[in-house]
Amino acid sequence: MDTNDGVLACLQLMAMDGAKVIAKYTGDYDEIRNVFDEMWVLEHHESLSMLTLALPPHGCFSLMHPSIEFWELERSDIVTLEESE
Amino acid sequence: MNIHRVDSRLIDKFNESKKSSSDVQSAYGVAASINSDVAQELLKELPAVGAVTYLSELEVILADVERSGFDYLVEHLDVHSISDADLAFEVPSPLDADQQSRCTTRDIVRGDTTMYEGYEGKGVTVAVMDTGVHSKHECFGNRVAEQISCVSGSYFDGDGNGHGTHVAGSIAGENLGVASEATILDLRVFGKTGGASTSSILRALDICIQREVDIVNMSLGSNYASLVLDGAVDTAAQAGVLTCVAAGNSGPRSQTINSPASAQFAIAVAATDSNGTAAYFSSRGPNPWYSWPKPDVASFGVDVISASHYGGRCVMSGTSMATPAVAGVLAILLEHQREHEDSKTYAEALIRESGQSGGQSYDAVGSGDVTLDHIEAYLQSTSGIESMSKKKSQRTSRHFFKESVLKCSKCNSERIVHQISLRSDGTMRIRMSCEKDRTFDKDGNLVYDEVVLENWKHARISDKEIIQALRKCGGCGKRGLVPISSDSIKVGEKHHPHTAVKVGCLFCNSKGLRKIPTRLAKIWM
Repeated sequence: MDTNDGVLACLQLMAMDGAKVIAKYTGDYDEIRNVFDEMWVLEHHESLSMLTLALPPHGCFSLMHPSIEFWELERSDIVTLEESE
Repeated sequence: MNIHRVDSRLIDKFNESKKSSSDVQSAYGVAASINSDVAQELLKELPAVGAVTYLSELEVILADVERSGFDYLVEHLDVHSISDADLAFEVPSPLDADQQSRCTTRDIVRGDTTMYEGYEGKGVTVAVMDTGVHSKHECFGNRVAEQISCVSGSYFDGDGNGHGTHVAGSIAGENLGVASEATILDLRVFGKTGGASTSSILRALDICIQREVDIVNMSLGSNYASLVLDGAVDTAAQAGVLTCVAAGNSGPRSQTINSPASAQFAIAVAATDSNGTAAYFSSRGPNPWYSWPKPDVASFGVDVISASHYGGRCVMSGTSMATPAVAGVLAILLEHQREHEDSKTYAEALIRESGQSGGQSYDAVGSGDVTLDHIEAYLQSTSGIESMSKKKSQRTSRHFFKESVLKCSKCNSERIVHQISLRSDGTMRIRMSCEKDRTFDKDGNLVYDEVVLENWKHARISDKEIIQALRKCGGCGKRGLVPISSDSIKVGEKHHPHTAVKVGCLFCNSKGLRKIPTRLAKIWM
């Protein structure tokens, strides 16, 4: 995601009044610990270098930090794959 | 009690019975959901016809009651809901013995194997990321080691859906699954209703990595591409967890594979019937999101008999059902691999290489239909794993890779890894030396054995294994090397970024240099 796309995506997130997102970071967690208010960090998936964040509108641009490799909105539509008759 | 929680069909039945002029009352089967605290009281006091059954796991009472018994349940404050027992429990129709013997995963996938006879996945842990597992099912014995709910704000309360129990049965169910002595780690990611969330999947994968689970079965999917899901699955695979993921049920259209089956290091499993023919519903390649091909393999997933969460057996179809077949085979191969340190088999590579496509396209069945028979036939027809090409320096033993990836074919001792190059064309070069049998040139420099793995993905060694190999000291042979400092080094454009790591041995104090991909250096440092 280049800078322009990143800014646009963050603006869209702001327009949504913030959201729950999953962010993948690179490097050490301590380096980005202060980027997010600790209230926003719902979960730290340490082995995966990923964070589940509940970002308020004013926190969306934190995702532009260079240590954030990529991020996505949290989704809840993963399904089991049995085939109905 | 709230009347809206009573099945309206039951109310109609009892009302009809009341209108009848006959003195003989009709009794109907009801299933009442209750508080477990009052179960004993209800069992004693309920005016029922015949025996009353209490299912403690489900906190449900099953009974045949007349109008008086029905009214008693309706008025009881600790009864949450009352359903028609005939409608609430859709117990699958009985299967004839012939059909049962043909359609379990165990029968189709184990076949007549002799090489793996007696191997049942003992000592191998398979995580089942699903709707939960009915651990009390007779087919599991005590082999469901732990049950963890990864759903936010939820405690573990068994399998309310049936999907997870069926999947676990195909992996490790006695007389049902491929590896009937494997241990199951039950990771519930689905709530009682609706889909699973990204966070619950990540939570489960995090547990798999932290607990160093051998295999994870993911009979789940989405209809989109997700960098997060794919990235998490790849991270788990890189950490040494073998990740089996259902390819999806969006076939027979092409390009219908989505996350997390689209992840590079996932073993994406398509479904075949008992003859090895691709199921019409099984998602097809090519991979619409990335350059690497998908699906990877296929296995039995049509009309599969396995464990039911009501007890007994039931039939399901889907790539969900094919995935545990591959997970089960991997459990067998891992057990075999651990027992035979000199084994020629390298479980994941074998799975990816040994399937029989039967003339079907890669987009439909990947490298082919996986069964233990096919693996045995493959091993008999080849002397090893074809994708591990042996482009070595002249001094390197010809059959370097025949024994094991990181072992010497002459003395079977472990190799010391000095340098690893990951190239952008997908190849990996490893420079190693045997700790016992070393060669030096006329200037006294060590002559490396150089090996190029042509298909890094297929011949992949986990990061964990590589770092273990990197820690081996050339001086004393112990795994005592620790990084002291590191510098980025320039390599050609065809290589990924590399770092020279200065290392020192905790045991013999010798110092040295290891040149490795920066990605690995970051993990090691």
